[in-house]
Amino acid sequence: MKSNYRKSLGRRGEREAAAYLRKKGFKILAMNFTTAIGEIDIVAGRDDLIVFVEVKTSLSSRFGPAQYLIDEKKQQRMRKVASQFLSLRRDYEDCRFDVMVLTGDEGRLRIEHISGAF
Amino acid sequence: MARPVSLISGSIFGVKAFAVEVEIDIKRGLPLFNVVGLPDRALKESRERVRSALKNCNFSYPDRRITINLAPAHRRKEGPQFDLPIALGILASEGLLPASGLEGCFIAGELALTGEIRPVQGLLPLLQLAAGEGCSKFIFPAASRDELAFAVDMDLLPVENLKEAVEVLREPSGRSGKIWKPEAALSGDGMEGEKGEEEKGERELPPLQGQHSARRAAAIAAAGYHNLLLFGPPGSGKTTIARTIPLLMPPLSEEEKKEVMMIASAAGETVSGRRPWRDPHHSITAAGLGGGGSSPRPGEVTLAHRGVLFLDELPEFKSGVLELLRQPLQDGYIHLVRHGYNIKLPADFMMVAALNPCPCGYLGQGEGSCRCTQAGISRYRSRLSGPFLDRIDLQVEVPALSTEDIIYRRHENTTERELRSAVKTAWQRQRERNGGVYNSGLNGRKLQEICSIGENEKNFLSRALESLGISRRGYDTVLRLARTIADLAGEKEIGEDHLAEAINYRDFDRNLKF
Repeated sequence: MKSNYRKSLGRRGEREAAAYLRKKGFKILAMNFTTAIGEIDIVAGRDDLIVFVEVKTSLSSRFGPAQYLIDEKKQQRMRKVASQFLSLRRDYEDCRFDVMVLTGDEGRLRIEHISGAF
Repeated sequence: MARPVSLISGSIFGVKAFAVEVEIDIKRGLPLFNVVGLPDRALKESRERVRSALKNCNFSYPDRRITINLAPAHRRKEGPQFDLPIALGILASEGLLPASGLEGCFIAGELALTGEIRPVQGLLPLLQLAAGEGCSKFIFPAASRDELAFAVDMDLLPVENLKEAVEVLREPSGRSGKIWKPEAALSGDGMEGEKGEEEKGERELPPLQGQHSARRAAAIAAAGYHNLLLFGPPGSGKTTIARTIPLLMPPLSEEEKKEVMMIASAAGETVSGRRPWRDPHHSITAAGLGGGGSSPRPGEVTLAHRGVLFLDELPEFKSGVLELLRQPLQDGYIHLVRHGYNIKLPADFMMVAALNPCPCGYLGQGEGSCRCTQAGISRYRSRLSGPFLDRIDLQVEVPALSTEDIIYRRHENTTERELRSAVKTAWQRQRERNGGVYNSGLNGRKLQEICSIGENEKNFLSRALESLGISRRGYDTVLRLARTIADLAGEKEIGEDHLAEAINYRDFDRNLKF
């Protein structure tokens, strides 16, 4: 299991990512939407568009850019969870998968937003 | 922001290369390295080599979505020579290379993880392709510098590693001190090269003992490009005699040299301008001999183009494998048709085959020396089909050496030089008279014209044919052989003695009838 420290770092990253999205005019529809299959960090909506966001937070780049951690398997799982979410909410036309990578030291996190990542 | 970039490279197909456009597009998205356009395994794996090479040369590798398209999309591409164009394309797309530097630039090279550039297979066909496509620069692995033995109207730019390649492309005009001029470029006259080669050949002629008739047959075969069958007991020198044949022939002409080197390069064999000598083991498969595979690889018949294909222990070859030789023996090429392609590969070679007269090898060596049953012998020989044997003009016995030969006639090598010059003269005669074919290729009307004989000779031949039971095709063969024998002797007309000698070389045919 994740250590408490890493869990809290992840939560903090998700909060900052949500704040960033809100600033961009998105409405946060769900945080940590969880089903039997898996979890989606943030579900946000704007107009007809619904966005499923995976947030990766890391303090060092010792293991390379965090976007490499989102492999084919993770993407597949996100698609499945997303379709479960969409079956509950049918009022959106388009959907998109984004990845947000937050890096930096304790003070400030730098946000890299990859929209339409896959 | 990154912009799409396109570079020119090529892939090998058979013994030629075709142009491949390498398009690189870098977009936002999760990191991905996607190669499309029917790449093979080696090409798909280029991701790891390109990534490491870029990083180890202190270039950044974009953590974004890289799409590489190889056009034309419907043809299979193979080989790791695309590593270098891909790496350079990524740099250009990132704006680290001027796009103008890539124009008219043909690039091929495999990358090591360190960024060193490794030699690639098929460099000569790629060079020819680049020249044909009108490229002005040719960037290739420095390690294969010596392979590029013919002059082209392009700047040849050998590069040792990725950094050097980048420097070359950053040079605004591309004209730098790095341009390579091949030393041994094939020039117009080629006389000097010919001399050098002859001397080399002379040194390499293996010492022969005795076997005068077989050596004469080998010279006749070399003089008229006739196929040759040598049969005799083990250890009588069949292989040694066969080996002298490419050395008896005149060196390759400039045009032939180019062809031969092109084929060797495409097949990844050592590239040399010598007359080919191929001696595949009898366990060879049909694809190994004729060529083929999921993308057409030249087989031994193509690698022996313009040279000698030696088949030792002929009956041990799988019969299906031998029968596929019929087309190349007849037409000088092999037409491969497979799922997905259809290609003609050159295969104009002289076949020399060797075999024992029976399974134990000692038939005809005196009373009681052969342990084979009659059934065993005929089974052994029946592995060779009639139509196949028919295509072998000269069939000659190489008997066991007598004690005297072995003891007193060591390393007799004096006649080789004369034989070689006689062969050369005979080739010249054929070139002037036959219109592009050797005597062995004469057929139909041409055969009648060139191998016309007088009344006396006709009478002699008809008597011989009746008493020996030689077929129509055998008759033509005798005429062709007699023509070559006359050419070797420097005679204009075919005489009775030439015919008589020619008939003698149908030995195995007659043996078969016992």
